[in-house]
Amino acid sequence: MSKLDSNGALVPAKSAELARKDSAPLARRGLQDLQQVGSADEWFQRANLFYKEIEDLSVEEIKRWSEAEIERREVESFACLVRAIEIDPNHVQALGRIGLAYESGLGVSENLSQAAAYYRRAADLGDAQAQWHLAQMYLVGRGVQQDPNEAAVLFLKAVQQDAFVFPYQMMQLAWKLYKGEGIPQDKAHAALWFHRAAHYGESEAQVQLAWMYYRGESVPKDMTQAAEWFRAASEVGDACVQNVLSMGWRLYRGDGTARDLAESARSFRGAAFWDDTSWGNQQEVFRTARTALGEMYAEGNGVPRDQHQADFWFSKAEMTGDPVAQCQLGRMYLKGEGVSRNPNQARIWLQASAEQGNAEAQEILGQMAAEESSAPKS
Amino acid sequence: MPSEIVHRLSPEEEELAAKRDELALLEAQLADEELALASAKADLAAFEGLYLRRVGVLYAELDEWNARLAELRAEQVHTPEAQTGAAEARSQAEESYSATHGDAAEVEPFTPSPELKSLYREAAKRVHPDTATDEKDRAQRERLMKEVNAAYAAGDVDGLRRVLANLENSPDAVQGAGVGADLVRVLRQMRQLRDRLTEIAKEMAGLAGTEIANLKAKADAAGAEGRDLLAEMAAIVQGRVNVARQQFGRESDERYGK
Repeated sequence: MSKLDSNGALVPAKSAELARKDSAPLARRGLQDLQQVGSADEWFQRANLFYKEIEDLSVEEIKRWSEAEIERREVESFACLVRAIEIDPNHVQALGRIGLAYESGLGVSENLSQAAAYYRRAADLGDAQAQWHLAQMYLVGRGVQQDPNEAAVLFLKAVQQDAFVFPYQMMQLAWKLYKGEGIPQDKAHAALWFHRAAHYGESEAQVQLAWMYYRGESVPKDMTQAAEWFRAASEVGDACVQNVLSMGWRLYRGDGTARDLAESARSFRGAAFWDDTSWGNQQEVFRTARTALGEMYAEGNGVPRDQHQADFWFSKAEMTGDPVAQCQLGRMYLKGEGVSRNPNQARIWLQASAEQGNAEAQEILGQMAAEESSAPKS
Repeated sequence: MPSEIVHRLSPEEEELAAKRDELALLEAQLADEELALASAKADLAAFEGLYLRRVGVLYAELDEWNARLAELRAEQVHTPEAQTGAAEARSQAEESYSATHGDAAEVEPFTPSPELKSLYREAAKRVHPDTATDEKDRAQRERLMKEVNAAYAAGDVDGLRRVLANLENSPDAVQGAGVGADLVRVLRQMRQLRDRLTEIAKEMAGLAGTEIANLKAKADAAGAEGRDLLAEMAAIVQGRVNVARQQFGRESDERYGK
């Protein structure tokens, strides 16, 4: 009974059908909408299937797909999305997905103004993802007239939703507000978003928040809070390294995943060598947090004065990588597991580990020295 | 020792007694069916009230925004189509408003007590119009049955008791003369009761075929899975309301400035 105009949401029904003043027309409308939403959802799930399939595939299997195959599936998926919003013009997820397809040219030719239009519809329906994407577009004027105020409004709408737990994006917003980057500067508001991102474990936000408490910048000066957030960031750093390390072990042993020595060596390298590119500026963040925390302990600033704790955090800050990972990487170089055999590289890593007090690395180095001295000199 | 006087029933009397037993069974069955029908109606009315309050009002709000939008657009483009569109949207909004703000929306959840049910069954058996033996009797019974139904739907235990108490005081209709005449009357009553039973079955089927009953069945099924269908529907319509409201906001800003 409803005729859907280009705005989708507007559903002017024929008044003749609703001439009676009882509730039957409203009940009928409810039933029809339920049915519409149900079948639109089926089409959306069908569109989703393609992406779900990809999630389940291993890298090798995906590599086997030809470009043409992938494109055919993208086009198919896009057609399903279009069908979904033909049936229910307010299918939020489908609208957002179509926006994304237009923005990135997935299964349809790239069209930024269309992308913005679909994002707008999903955003108006309260979709946090779409609000975020659209805000980005307004910020730089992609597909829409540049409008920092509208961007700020949309950013806030997106991150204010409980369902929206993207700490990294919250932090991005916080930085924008803090620096007045593209949107009006508002440090008090920024502190609020640093706080939220920090709560979700975003270490950079934790360090920034700690500094703000430390300096009393837009928040009341509070050394205890500052110390707490520095500590939280330091612990996140440890957890990150532990994650990478345990990934390395799983790949090494083939524990719950295919055994992959090369990939395993890469993981150990990431944990062993913090300056590895894969860490970005993260290790700098952790180092700052640890140094700051050490200083606070040394001075008794916000925490009880405790030279022992101070030394502990200073030594952690100076740590150039995880000693266990360094030792394991050295062993892999020694045996040529996942990497080409290279005794010199092995020695470098084992020494780094041994210097941090790793007994196993010290033992292996000892054995190597003994073997060398007993070997006949050439 | 006086010999017992044994009244031997004539074949007609035996037949009459048997038919009277059958009639009593039918009366009891009809009372049950009337109860089921009255309960179904009351349940449905209660669900309708709930639906109108939780979902209907959102449709009414949606229609209101759509009407305002159509009127706003009609102010800008003076085409006959725009004018008609605006008028239609407005009347639609009024329909929805009156549907969601009428008596139907006031009905509260219906949970009859066992006492209310048994009183209703008893009253229905005693006053049912289809047990009437003549037109005057029927008219009186129809009036009483209406009272009984109203009292049941309103959960009015005292009302049902009052009807029953009044019945105790009124003398039973004088029975006709002779076994033959009685038998004819009982047979006629039985046919009337059977007709009513058929009618109730039809009414029940009619009720089950309505949109609101269809919705209720879906809501009950969803409820059995631990879902709140009305809340889901409300969320769907609320989304549309938000879109329409924001669209109206944007268009009216464009026209009149912020």
